[in-house]
Amino acid sequence: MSARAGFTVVEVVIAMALVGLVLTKLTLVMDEARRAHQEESISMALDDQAMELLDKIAFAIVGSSAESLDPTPMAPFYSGTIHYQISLGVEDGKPVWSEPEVIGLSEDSGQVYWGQNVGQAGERIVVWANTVSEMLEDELLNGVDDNGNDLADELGLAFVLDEKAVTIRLSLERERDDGHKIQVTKETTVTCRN
Amino acid sequence: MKIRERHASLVRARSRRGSALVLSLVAVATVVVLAASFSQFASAVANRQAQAVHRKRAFYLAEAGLAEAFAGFTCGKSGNVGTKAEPARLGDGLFWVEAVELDGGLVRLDSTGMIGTGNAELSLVVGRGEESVAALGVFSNGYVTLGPGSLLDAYDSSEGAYSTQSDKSGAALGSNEGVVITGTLLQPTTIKGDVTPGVEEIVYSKGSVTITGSTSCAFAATELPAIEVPDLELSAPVVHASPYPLVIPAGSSGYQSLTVQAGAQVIIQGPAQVELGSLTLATTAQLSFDTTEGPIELYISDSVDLANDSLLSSSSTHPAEILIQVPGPTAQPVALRASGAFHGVIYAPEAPVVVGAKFELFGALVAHGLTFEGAAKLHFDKHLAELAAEEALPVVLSWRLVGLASTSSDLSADPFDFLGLDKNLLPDPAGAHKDQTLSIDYYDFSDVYHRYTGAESQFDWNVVKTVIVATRDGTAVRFPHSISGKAGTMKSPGVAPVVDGPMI
Repeated sequence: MSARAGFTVVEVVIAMALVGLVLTKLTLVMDEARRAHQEESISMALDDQAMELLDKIAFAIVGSSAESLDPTPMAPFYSGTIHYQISLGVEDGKPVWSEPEVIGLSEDSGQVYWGQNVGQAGERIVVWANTVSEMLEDELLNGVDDNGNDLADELGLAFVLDEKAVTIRLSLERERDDGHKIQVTKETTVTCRN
Repeated sequence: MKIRERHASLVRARSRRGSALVLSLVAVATVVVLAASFSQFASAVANRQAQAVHRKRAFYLAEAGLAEAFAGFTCGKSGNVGTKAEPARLGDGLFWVEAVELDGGLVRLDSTGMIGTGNAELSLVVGRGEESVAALGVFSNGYVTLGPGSLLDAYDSSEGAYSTQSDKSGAALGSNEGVVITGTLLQPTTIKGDVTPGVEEIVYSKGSVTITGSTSCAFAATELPAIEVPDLELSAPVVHASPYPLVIPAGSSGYQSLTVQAGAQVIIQGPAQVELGSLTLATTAQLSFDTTEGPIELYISDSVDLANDSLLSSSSTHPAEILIQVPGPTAQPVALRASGAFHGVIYAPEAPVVVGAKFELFGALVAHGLTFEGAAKLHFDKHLAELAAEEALPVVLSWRLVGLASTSSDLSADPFDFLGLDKNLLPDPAGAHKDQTLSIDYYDFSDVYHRYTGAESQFDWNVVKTVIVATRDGTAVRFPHSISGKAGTMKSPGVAPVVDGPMI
């Protein structure tokens, strides 16, 4: 009777193999789910951040005068920095312009910054984002337009001018725990109203 | 023994009972917590993005408000569209625009747009358009007399040279007093367009005279606006007698007087604003306008004397590029006795002008009084009327984003609730313009003359074919894209108007 209560070695081995298989599979599935969750979270956060940043840049430039924009790159040329002045109203029949402002990409740190009176008295610099890609999504530093946007080797923040319209392209990126990079790219065009 | 073993087995089984449920609950709780945190995160992101969308939509609503107000302002309305208490409804949102009068005839339009949780405020400063008298063609405050052999016709400088155009109709000759035109069989006088004498005045024509247009009198006297002279410092008088040309360079400059002796030449290079106390060209002296780089405005305050056989020339055949203005009255009439063809606009609202027999003008001539010493040759440039219409449009001086915000974090927020308004009772943008008292004389589509005075909201603009004159709250209404679309002064209907009552 007591001999019948145990398991044979073969039964135990088969049972352990099955349990191992299930646990391995479960671990893989859990890991995949965790990665997917992380990727989705990062992607969503980047998307949100990119949209907010693009709006911030667009609404900063919209009140400027096209004559105040510097530089004035037209496709296939671009600039990672744009200087501008916005209208503050009218005094004695003449428009009053703000102090010179700039929005640009610091290539060393990957930061997008806004500045006023840069290099002069009363300088103000504010970092708006620090997760900007070195290059725009799908672009390589090879002198060729890899991503088909008519620009070659453009940085993660690129301004292109077409008369009074400024097209802004932006790529943000972050790494997953396993080192895999996630990128989000946004683009908008804003027309200078002054 | 068997009973004891069975009891022990039952006790062990009882101690394990419920452990699977506990494990399951822990697993489910973990999943729920993860799902909840992700859901909360996703919801927060979606909320932020929705608010960003609402702000953008509010921004575009405020822009729509500015566009509506500016369009109204262009047509002579006040620029006020709706109020905070009764805004204009557009789609699911609303906007209102307040017009604030500033110094110097400027107006600031403050527009507020609201939709969902978004709120945007924009500000636009506009300057009123400028009256241009160039569209009057040839006009005099006093009597005008055209002698035998005179030709007054029109062309369009934007379509090429005068000589290349076959349609020479559209000329305009007007006066605030009478017009006398004479011609002979050998020297007939031709006017290819309208002749408009002053109110209740007539056109006296004698001999061989052809007028292709109307000769009805003006509906109202034409006021000639004063000239604003730039504040320039005047240098010492200049007398130029050298065989080498004297060049007045581009920019602003002024001389107490400029005298060009016989055989000498002075060149004014554009773009330039030049002010002279007086201008004298001796016989065979030449004054040239070089507008290659830009237009030229010449102001002459005291006297203008272009002697017989002096020469007034221009590098361009576009009259709009040269403007000669005599702002005040002069002791002697402005004498235009130079030879050759001159392309430009001459405006002397307070000075009489004498035009020599050899002077041929392409452009427009408006003066306090006009006398022609011989047969007049005047070719009105119809393009000037188009430019005048453009100049009458308001000018945008400044556009500013005042504020862009979310009024609430609750995405179900509604601006109509926020302001305590019933959206079904709010007017559409076109109906939200501030009502004004309209006084208008017009022709309907049967060419019947009507007059209406009352609230504009009670007037149906669809019945209007041509506006003779209109005011809003006592201020003349400009029609940059004129309903009549014709150069010259508006003519009197010659009959009593049909007086309209409220139409709407």
